Amino acid sequence: MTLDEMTRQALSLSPSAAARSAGVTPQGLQIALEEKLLEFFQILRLKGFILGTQESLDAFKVADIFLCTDFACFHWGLRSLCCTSQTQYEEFDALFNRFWRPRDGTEHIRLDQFYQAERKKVEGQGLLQTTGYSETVAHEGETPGISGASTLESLLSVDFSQVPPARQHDLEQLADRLWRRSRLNRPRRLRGQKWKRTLNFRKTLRQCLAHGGELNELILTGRKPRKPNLVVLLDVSGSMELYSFLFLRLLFALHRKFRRMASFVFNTRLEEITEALKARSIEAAMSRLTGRRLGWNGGTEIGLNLRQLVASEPHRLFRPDTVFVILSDGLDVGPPEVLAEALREIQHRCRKVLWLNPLLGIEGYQPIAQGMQAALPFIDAFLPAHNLESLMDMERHLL
Amino acid sequence: MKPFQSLEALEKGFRGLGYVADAGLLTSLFLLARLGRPLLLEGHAGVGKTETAKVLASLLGVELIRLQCYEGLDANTTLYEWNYQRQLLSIKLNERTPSTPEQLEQHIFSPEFLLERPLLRAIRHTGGPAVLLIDEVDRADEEFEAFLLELLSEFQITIPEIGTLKAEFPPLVILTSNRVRELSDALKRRCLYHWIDYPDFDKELEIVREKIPGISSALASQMVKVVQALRELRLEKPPGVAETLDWALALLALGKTGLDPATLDSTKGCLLKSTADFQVLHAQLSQLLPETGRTAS
Repeated sequence: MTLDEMTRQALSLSPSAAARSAGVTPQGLQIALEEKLLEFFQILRLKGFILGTQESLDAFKVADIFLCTDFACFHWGLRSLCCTSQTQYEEFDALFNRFWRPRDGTEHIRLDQFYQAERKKVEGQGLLQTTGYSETVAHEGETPGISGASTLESLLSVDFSQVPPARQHDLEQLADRLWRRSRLNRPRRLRGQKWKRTLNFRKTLRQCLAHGGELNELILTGRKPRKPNLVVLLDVSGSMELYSFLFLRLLFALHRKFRRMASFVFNTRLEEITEALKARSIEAAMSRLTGRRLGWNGGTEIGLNLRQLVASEPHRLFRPDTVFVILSDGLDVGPPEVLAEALREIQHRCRKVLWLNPLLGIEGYQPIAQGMQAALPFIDAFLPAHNLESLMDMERHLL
Repeated sequence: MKPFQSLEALEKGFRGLGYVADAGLLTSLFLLARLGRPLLLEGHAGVGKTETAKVLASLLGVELIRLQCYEGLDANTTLYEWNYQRQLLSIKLNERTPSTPEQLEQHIFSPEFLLERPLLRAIRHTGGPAVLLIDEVDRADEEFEAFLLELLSEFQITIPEIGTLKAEFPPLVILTSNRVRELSDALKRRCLYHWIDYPDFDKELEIVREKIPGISSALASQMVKVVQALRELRLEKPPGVAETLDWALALLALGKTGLDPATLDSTKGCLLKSTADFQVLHAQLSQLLPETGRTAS
């Protein structure tokens, strides 16, 4: 009698009745079921579910409680135990059905077949990774609707311009997820006193005990650190086309983290997009932006735009705690002196000037373009911005 | 009958308290008690995540200990705090009586000066496990999450001045999250997980009838149809079950017996919470209420 037959019987009968009719002991059946569960867990692990020994042990308990009485509850119970987000539900349900109740027409999956399929996939990826990125689209055909965590993570270090159109969506998803996790979320501990400094009772009391309870020194909590005022300029000229749409998503994510933030886009002209990016969802923000007249192409005049910015609203934008960020490849068509002069002024008024250049990730790139050369002396940090890893790295400069 | 004796008993209990739960959620709750793991509930706003914990507590007849998370929440605020004002007073009062610093310390760090916060209260709960609701855990920061992880695995804490306290009855823990921030894998792995989806038409109708007995069935089904259709639209904030119930109460208070476009328009504030959503509603008004729309015109 095979494992499958035994399990199927177990589902329709109580353990002892199943055992009697099949001529096997209840213990034998128990062991067979546990093996079957472990096999299922192995498959789940291969599919990227994070499951430890404790989860396996708890799964035995779930089977104990439900398997012989209510199969649907057995399904929901295991799902509750194994999934950690709603996005995993679909994948889990599909695997569960293929493993525990294969219908006519659908193929029953087994662990050994699974190993082979996964190994093939990994080998294929290894070959392609040496050429820059792994083309997993073809492989995904084998297991429809399932994209493992590792295939997403592989996008971390791929240059934005090298991401194939088919994976653009994956890239955006990964970016949004990373930005939601970003360290910028972390608030400071010593917050909560908007007025003057307050007394730290705990420390004061501890301290006064040393003097026999004499209160002779008050210990205060520190001042609440403030997030900087952030001003971001995004270059949307033709040469930045491959990058600018993803950077827009980054700006949207940053707007959720910084209350005081202003965003601009520029090519030959400058336009503020702060309000558009304050939309509730990324889709809403994008649709507000596509209505704009500003062409998302054309040449770049960084210097003139910066000068205009300094002249127009100096008090709102440039404060001692402003972090000024420019996202551009530095291919400027305007005169370099204007750029240098404007940046000197900005650096003088702000706390920090960051320049993020997607070309910096290209091996052998030297910032020899006229504009870049003129700008370098007035920049506090010159950072790469060609893949997600480099963008995540940028955040430590922001606080 | 004890609620955790069987799934049917649990279901009956929930229904008796006016909470219509789907079978998946009940299974997870059942396992929460049987496996002793915390349960993480996720879902859109207003689908009854917090309500689940409240109903569970009143079903078991135990105290619901609620910890509302927010940015900057730390271990002191959630576990315990010393009653500093009382400690200071006590030091002043004892000034005249001769005592050594050690005696003084022992005195002012005794349990009578300890202020219990929710987590400590859950651990020290006597007479049976309490229901501990850790609401909107995604709003707290990562350090707090790490602290929580430690607490949820051991159910014991150490207070330097008093010693280690271990829970006699580990509480039934329910965490809720609105996905403001991605929770750490470690915390998610330690929990059972259930996603509460919007209810389908029949279930929502049942909920409305259960919660608001005075409503006519024609109005109820008309309302639920509109709400279900609204969720299909691309809204910034789709209405949850809580909004449906608010709306039903509003319609009852206004003495309405049927829905027409004008009524929907004047009570839209119960369902939708932004001007952009109002505009979407205006554009779709005739599709949402086709029959009455025709008679009105």
